[in-house]
Amino acid sequence: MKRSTKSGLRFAAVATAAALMVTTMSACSSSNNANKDFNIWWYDKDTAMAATWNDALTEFKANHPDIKVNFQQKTFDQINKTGSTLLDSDKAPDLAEWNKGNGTAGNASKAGLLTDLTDYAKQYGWDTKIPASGQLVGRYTDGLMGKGTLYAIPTYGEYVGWFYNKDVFAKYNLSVPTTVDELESVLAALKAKGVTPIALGGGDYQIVHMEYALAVSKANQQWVKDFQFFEHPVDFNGPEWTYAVDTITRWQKAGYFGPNVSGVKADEAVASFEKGKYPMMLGGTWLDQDIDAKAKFNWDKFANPGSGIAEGSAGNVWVIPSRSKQKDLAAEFIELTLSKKYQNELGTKGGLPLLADASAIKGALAVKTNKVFSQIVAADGLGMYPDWPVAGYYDILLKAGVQLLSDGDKAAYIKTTGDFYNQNKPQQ
Amino acid sequence: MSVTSLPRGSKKTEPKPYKRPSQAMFYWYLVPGLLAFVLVIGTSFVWNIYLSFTKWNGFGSPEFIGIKNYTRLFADPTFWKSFLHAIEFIAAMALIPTALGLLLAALIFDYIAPRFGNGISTFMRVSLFIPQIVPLTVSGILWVWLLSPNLGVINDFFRSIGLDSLALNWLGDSRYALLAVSVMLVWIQIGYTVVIFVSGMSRIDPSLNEAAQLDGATWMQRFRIITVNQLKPEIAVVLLTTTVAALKVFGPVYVMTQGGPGDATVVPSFFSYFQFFTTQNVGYGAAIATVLTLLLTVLAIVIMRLQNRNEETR
Repeated sequence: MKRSTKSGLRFAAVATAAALMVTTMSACSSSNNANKDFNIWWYDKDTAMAATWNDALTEFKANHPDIKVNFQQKTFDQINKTGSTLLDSDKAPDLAEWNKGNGTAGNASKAGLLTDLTDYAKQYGWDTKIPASGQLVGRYTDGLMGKGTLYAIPTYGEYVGWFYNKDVFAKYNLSVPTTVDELESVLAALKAKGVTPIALGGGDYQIVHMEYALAVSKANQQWVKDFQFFEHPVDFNGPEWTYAVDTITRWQKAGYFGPNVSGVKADEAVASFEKGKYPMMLGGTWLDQDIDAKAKFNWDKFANPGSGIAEGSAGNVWVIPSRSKQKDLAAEFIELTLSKKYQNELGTKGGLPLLADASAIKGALAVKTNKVFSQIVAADGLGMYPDWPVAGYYDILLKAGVQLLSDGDKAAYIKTTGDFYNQNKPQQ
Repeated sequence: MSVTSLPRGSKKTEPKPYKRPSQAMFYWYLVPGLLAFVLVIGTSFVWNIYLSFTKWNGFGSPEFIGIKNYTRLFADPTFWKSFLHAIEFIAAMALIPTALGLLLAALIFDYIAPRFGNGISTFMRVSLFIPQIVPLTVSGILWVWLLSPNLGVINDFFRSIGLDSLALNWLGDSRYALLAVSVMLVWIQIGYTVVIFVSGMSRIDPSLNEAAQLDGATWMQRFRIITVNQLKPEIAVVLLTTTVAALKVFGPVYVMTQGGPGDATVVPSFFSYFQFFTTQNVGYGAAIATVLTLLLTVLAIVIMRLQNRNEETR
């Protein structure tokens, strides 16, 4: 090539490289005013937790007038998808609400991105105050949840249960089912009267929850431990998983769900329950506030009958990132949210506190939802959630669930969900 | 006054009255572009190729495993299915918008502009182009609601005109999801093709059309023989860009179906994203992305060669 072109190109390359070096060096030397800032994130929104934590944060700010408290509202998806990269950067907050589970908090703990909270737990008594079954969502060994080092602290619980329209039940003389047979006869009775019983967001997360809730209602605690903590191999053709798949397809054929259920989003299903279109819905406690506000009829909740094991767990957790610059303040805030004052407030607002005084929880909503929670806890029946064991399982379960409702192919559902679980679980 | 010799290589420019600047000066202007390319595209591209030979979950350090990701890729049925869907999307994002775009552009240029004035024709072009400007997430959510089987406007419309059998479970049924997403893709792409073709048509010598009309050619004949032939360069560019876009498509699938139901709408870029962020098999995701890039590069070269050959024969 021409001499001047060659030297020109060489010159451009050198200039580019030089500019690159300058920009990287300046990026490395960015500083921030670390000692005066407290950065806190959570993604609960419009829930009892968010409201209670806001109050706690106000008191915290009053207690520390010299600290600039920066709160950032995040979303569940943000933490699920990009949380790990954020923790590994200098944008990591000082305290954050995190998703419990192997794929999120587990992976982060394995990579050393979370602070070991053992010392703080001793200092504040968390390891004795919080019930053991609640603590296990905060304990991770080699990134696997269930036992080991305490990396995260839960402050509340959650579960999936049946919401029902009391007025409709009263109209047809139906009582709250306590066994699987009673549940089946309630559904059949409603259908016989021309009422489609169940509101289901089959194109959304609700199908994932329904499948697992049905599976654990047939399971025992050992199966749950096998599924969640890999204590023994799980047989996806066993009674638990097949019961769930059979029941869903049977209910769909019997017309217990609305039309085109695989195309219905969760918002649509919840709205249709609230409008009184369907008298029953299997939903999580994060819907309590919304239903209480919008349903114009008498409503209540009951636990999914069966083995006594329900889909549910201790809630999402506080973590102190390793890169946190305010670890003591973070621990102090965690303790504040665990104090009787704020745990009771959480209960009264309709949340499910782990450490409240039962007698202090007032209010119709709080009583409705807490009575089911205490029933489940008393039976040691927290079955956790299906997407916990393996990273990415939620998306697989969702798409397979939509497919199941779309074409009724039970074998394909079992194969897809079973294969993914087995291929992606930690190879022991 | 003396006239210096013409700069070498130029045939038509006027003689400059000053000394030709040294070629080396121009290379300064390359630096910002080169910098951006190296920083954003170059380094990530090389890093991605490296990652495709490793096993990594996003934390800690990658573990070198040779070509295992690639052997896994070629045996993975979901990967091949995703390519099949990408090819099917070529119909939705390249072939149909190009064909429809040509017809619509000719309609606007030949009928509407002369008869109804430039205002209407501009309005039509702008409205057709709006889907290209609206953020993809907004369009995606909009279409999810439009396609909702029980509440959506599309099914409401079918029911109101008595076509209940067409009020289908669009995004919730694996038989129709791909079709539903394709319709949305046509809606997005048509503005782009129409705008390019209309501007291309303004360069066609009007005497060609007048001569043909005088000879008694119908509109269809004129469209086929004159318009389409004259627009060959535009058609080549549009086909290339829309085909590449079809093979790369990610946004609409992500917002509307997440690849579902099952894997009825999985495409390669979504599959790669899924491996990166959801299952955290970063090495595998990188391998998918590398294969996709290779295929697209080959395709682009082929199409550009065809276009060059076509231009040479004119």
